[in-house]
Amino acid sequence: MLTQVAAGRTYDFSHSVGRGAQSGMGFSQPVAAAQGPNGVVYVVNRGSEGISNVSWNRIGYGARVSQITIGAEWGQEEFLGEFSKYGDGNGEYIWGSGVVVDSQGRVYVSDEWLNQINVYDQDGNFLNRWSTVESDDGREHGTASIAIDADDNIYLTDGRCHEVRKFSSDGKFIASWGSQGSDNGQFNAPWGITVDQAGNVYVADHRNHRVQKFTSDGRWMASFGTPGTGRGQLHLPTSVAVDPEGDVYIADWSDNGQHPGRVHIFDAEGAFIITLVGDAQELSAWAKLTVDANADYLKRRREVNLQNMESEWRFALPTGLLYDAEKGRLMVVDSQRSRFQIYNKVSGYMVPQMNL
Amino acid sequence: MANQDIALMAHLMRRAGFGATREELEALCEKGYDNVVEELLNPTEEPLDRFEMMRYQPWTWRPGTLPGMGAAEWLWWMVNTRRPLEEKMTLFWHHIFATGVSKVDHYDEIQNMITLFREQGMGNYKELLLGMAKNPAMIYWLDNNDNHAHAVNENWGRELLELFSMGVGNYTEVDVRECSRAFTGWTFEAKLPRGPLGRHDWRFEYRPDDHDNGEKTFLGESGNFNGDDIIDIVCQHPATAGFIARHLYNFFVADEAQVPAWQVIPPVDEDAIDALTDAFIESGYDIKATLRVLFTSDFFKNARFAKLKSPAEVVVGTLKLVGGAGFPAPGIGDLSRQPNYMGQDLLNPPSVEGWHTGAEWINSGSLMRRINFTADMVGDTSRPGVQSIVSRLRSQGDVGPEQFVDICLDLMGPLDVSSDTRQELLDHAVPGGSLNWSNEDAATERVSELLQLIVSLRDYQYA
Repeated sequence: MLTQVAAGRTYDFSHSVGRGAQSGMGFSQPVAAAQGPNGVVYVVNRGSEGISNVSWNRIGYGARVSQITIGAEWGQEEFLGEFSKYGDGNGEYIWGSGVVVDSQGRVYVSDEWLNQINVYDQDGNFLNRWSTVESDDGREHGTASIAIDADDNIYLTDGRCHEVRKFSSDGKFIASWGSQGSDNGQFNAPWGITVDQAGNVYVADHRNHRVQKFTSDGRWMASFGTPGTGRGQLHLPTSVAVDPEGDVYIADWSDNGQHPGRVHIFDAEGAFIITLVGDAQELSAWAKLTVDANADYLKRRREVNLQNMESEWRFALPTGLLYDAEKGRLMVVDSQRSRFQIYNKVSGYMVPQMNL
Repeated sequence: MANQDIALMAHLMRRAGFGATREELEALCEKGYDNVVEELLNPTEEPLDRFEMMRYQPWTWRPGTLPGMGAAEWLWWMVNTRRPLEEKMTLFWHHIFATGVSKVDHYDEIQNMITLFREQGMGNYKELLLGMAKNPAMIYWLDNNDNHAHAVNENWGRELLELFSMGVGNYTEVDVRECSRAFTGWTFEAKLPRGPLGRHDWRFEYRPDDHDNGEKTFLGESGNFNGDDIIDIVCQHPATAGFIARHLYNFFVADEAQVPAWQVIPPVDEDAIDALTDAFIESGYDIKATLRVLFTSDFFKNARFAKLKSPAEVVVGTLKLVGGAGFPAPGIGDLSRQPNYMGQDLLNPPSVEGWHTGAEWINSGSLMRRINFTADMVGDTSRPGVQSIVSRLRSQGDVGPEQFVDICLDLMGPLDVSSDTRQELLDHAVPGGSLNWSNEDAATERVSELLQLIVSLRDYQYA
């Protein structure tokens, strides 16, 4: 269904943006996105490993941060540029994992392997980097994702230490909370994280199959979802976003054997509203460029039956959510399909009469 | 604990898995050999979670054909599984139903075949054959999508008989033709192209309008056969049981001649082949029952170090020995290429015949690759498995050079070496005198050097 109406909300599929590409107009294993003050969307591409025949030539394909704008309708997206690449030098990353933009337009990109954050100006020029690990505490760390509050404090999840840590924007440690477990306030491989307009922190508790809500200093407030693959249940949640009305969006990897991934929507009190499964039945503008340029692609696509088309329009392991409050739309980072799927949250939707 | 018990358990785990650490071997010995065999045949540990790999290395979900790292997930699985025989059988079937990305061009489809081996590899052989006949990667690999009612393509039909069931000499060219006719219409649905949004799965499709419904005569039987009828007839043929038995012997017990020579070169141990053949037939083609006979037999227990390790066994076994490969860290793609550098490109065999095994694994280049890789691994004293060996040596206190060599050989297998080889190791160890732990770094360095020498031995290349 392109349009879903439930509990007084309407989610209307708008369009998709992106295609697989190791550079330029497209993405490569995109895992996170953030929007800057001027509407620029920064996309972290994890990329894939490359062959290393010599020790100094360790490479990764497609790893970079893309800068794009996403218009209101199909075909209005623009590729602005890209920065960073695979590596451990200044401004480079091995496993890009998260991105936020602060009030000054500075861009912060986390590295899950090197456990550091690279900071760039809004054009992608490297400014500095700082460690997300306070000291060598003998533990294995993994900076899984990052979020930012209105005061430019940075929150991050550490998926291998099972905790949340809070830093100032220049990398000074402020606080941490959580430990491995399944009680309230504990985590099992936490991943996605976001901050709502009131400053509360939401964490996708990946292996506990839930999202937990905390105050800005780490006091547990609530939990969303129960484990499972049924309606309103969560299985391996990866990312979370909150809109200005307090509705909570959770991406997960629930797997029906063919199409792994859904986005669940809850209200602020934790009541389940609806699930999205992906609706990109029309190719994005960039994807269409690829198909139009390849006659065999065009011919083969016309031979594919409707059932086999489903794997194209459904989500495939989504790992990022971005709510664009200004335009009232949810942007799902549909990672394995190298694109965004965009849904408008429509106000005042008039339901057509049923006997049409 | 008797050293012979450890040695026998180590032999079982090298063959029915990819080796085990000394700590694991000691725990397994407490359970007893026959109980361990049953655990291997009926694993109760949970399978690995594929999403753990996707979590950190998302590109492995539907890996692209280049740069040839499609086996990364499988390598991680082989190293970390708690169901080792299941995974070893997966490798066994990949050797037989050898299907390669060089033609299929979709690692994910061959990964799906690997998953099928993992799930059905110890089940019923007839079911497995049927699964292969319907597997899209196999269908494309052997051109059955080009096998039409009015234009027969014999590739799948021929290899089914020659390489997957009976072996050369047990059927005629007419049988090949009739078999192929029975599989007309066994194909797969059109799928979306790989671009611009990534790979999509193939699905098997039977097209009745493209199936040859005429009368066929196959191996002396006549009827309007379809593909599953052919598989029934093939499985009932005694040559099939003998063929699979010889494959099992070659893979798990001792190196045989290469498959194309089986028609003219008799088995190494005819009685063993007969025992496995009988078990296969009596159990109704049950692989698990046949493996039970194999692993509890004297011919298996007496076959220590009678097989050259395959490159996959070298790489996975060494990684299990040295440890530290549990997390799918950066570099796993490169790691997955190591068997290829030694002559075994997983998911990309040289032909439908699979790899030539035994002594043919070794040439000057592949041997150097084996030694360089294993020496690098055991020379890394930060690895937990190496630290465990160092720790065990340290717990013995200062020891003389002979004891030093013997303990290391024991902990690295136990490894049987000739007296000449042992003397060579001693020639290296004696000048250093006793292994003295008053200087821990120096002692650790000496252990590391000796371990590197041991993995360079001819003896370490045998399982």
